Amino acid sequence: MSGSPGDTPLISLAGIGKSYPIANSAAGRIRTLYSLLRRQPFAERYDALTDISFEVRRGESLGLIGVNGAGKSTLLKIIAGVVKPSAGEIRLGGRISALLELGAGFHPEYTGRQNVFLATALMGLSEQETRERLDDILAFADIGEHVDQPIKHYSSGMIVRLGFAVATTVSPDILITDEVLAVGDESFQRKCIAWMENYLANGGTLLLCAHSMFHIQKLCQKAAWIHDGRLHGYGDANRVTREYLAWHDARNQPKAQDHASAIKSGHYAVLSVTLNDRPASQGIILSEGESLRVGGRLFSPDGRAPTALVGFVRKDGMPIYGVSSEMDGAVLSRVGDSEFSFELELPALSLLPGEYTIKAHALDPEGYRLFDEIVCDLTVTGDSRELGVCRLPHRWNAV
Amino acid sequence: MNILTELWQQRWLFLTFVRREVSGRYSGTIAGGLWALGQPVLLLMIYGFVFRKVFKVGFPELGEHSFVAFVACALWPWMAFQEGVQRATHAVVGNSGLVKKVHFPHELLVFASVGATFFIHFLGFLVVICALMLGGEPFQLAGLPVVLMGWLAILLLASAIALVTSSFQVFLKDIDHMLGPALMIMFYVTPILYPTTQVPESVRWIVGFNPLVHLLEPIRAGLMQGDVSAIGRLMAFVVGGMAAVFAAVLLFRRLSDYFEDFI
Repeated sequence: MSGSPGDTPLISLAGIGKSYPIANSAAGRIRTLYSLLRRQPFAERYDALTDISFEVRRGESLGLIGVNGAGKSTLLKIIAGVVKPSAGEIRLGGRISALLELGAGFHPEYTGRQNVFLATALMGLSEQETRERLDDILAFADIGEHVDQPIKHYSSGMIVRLGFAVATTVSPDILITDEVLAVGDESFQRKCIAWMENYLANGGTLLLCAHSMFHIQKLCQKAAWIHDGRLHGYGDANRVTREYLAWHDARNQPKAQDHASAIKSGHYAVLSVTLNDRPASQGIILSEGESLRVGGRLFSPDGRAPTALVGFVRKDGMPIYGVSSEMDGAVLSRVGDSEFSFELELPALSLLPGEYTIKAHALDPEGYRLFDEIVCDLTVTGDSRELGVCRLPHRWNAV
Repeated sequence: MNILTELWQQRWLFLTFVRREVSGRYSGTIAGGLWALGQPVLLLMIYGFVFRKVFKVGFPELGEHSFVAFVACALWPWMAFQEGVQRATHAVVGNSGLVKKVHFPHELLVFASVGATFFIHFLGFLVVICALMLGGEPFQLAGLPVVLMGWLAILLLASAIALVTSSFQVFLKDIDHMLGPALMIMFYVTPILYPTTQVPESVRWIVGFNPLVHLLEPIRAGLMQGDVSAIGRLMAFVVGGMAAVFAAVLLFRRLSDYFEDFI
């Protein structure tokens, strides 16, 4: 891994497209074969990817997100070289190692050692180079004397361990993985994660396809959101993942339906929430110590002022603080026949840097029953070295 | 020429594939590599019995040689050709795990499969020829150049055909079913069990269209009579074979981009 950040991109995609022929019948297969031989466009085709362009720079790990079937895996395969794009140009500026499937190409009848030689040859290593690394690979895989037994006698965990050990032996410039970050048993998972952290710390670049936004936010600086084969969003990983999650919420619609059904069935409901006067669906990013105003409108079926409850929860679900209008004796202001608004101000928010969730609930006027909620993201940035989730008022006394 | 440098860079992979093919073909068997020799030897014995003892076949071309030696000269190159094409037809489909997940030139799978088959049967050929010579068969070692050149030309022919059949097999599973009967017919219309001179005059011109005739006959003539006059023609076949393989690789590559979708 050489070179400084900011030099030529490691991966550069320009207008990448991929279309597949639709060939369900025998005649379709023959037509496909014919048009491939004649290099003609397919009569019936399906566009898996259309006009994808972006660049990945050294040390700038990228996460691919999108729903199933959006084209993420196809894009990963194109970058890994397994699939050739039908349109556009791809330029690679470094050595790629793809972990599309650990142990892909292992043959069950051959021993672990023989399979290691085949796998490394597929990565472009000569026999001599493999011999030099063999001890390291086997030590990392830690499969003991099984190495000289046919792979078919291995447990699935042993196969992925050997696969991971082989794939990571070359210390690639770009590591492509398809949801295979941590494999095997607990202790091997720890080894994988340690390897990955070391790899990233040494300037390695990761191209990750994952459904876990947590992994993307933790490991990647950039994220690309693929939707229906197109690049739907690209940029800062936190921002794109947030947009993606908000889109998911909107798509699933249970919240909106809940509001509608809550209103229809005569329940108290949260109509909208704002964070510092901006719609809450996009979440909010604050510097530590900044002020936060949580505003909202609640629906009341009977014209009585409902109770608003605002809660702060850490990303892992641990409640931090919650307070309701009823507890503080605050009364919501009426803005319509059945609509009430509230605003909760938190001057100099004492949360420490991190990711949080804000929950706004609608309760009955007595504050007994919880009817509806809207959830939004809060990110607090800063470089405080204090520990925990929030700052407690304190001072150091001279004694 | 781009293709050649690319393939040269992958020579380690090619060697690993070949080694895997050779060792894997007989792994798990008790007799191991003996199977490679046993099957053609058994065929040879049956042909010897049926044609020599039952039908009492005899023709002047045999000269001082036995019928078994006459068949052996052509049977091993034929077996390499037939088995090479048949096995390599499955080379792409049978390695779907690799093709779908790993980036490498897919034609290496075909070359490795054909190459491994030829390696095994060429060794078998050497063993049988040596055994027959030890048994008193008067083979002419002067014919060695045409024998080697003939084998090389057959290897190239088998590779070119296998590149086409293996890539078509991905799209049309019928190829495999057509190949069996086609190769069986070819075995009988190729002068392996009989010399070309025994074919009736009226249809002998058709035999000339079979390229294997022009490759097997010189091998046999070289070993039996020490006749090396066909060396020039064989060289032309080798050059033609290389061109055919090159053209087949180009065709193969037009299809290989879509293997992962159809396999």
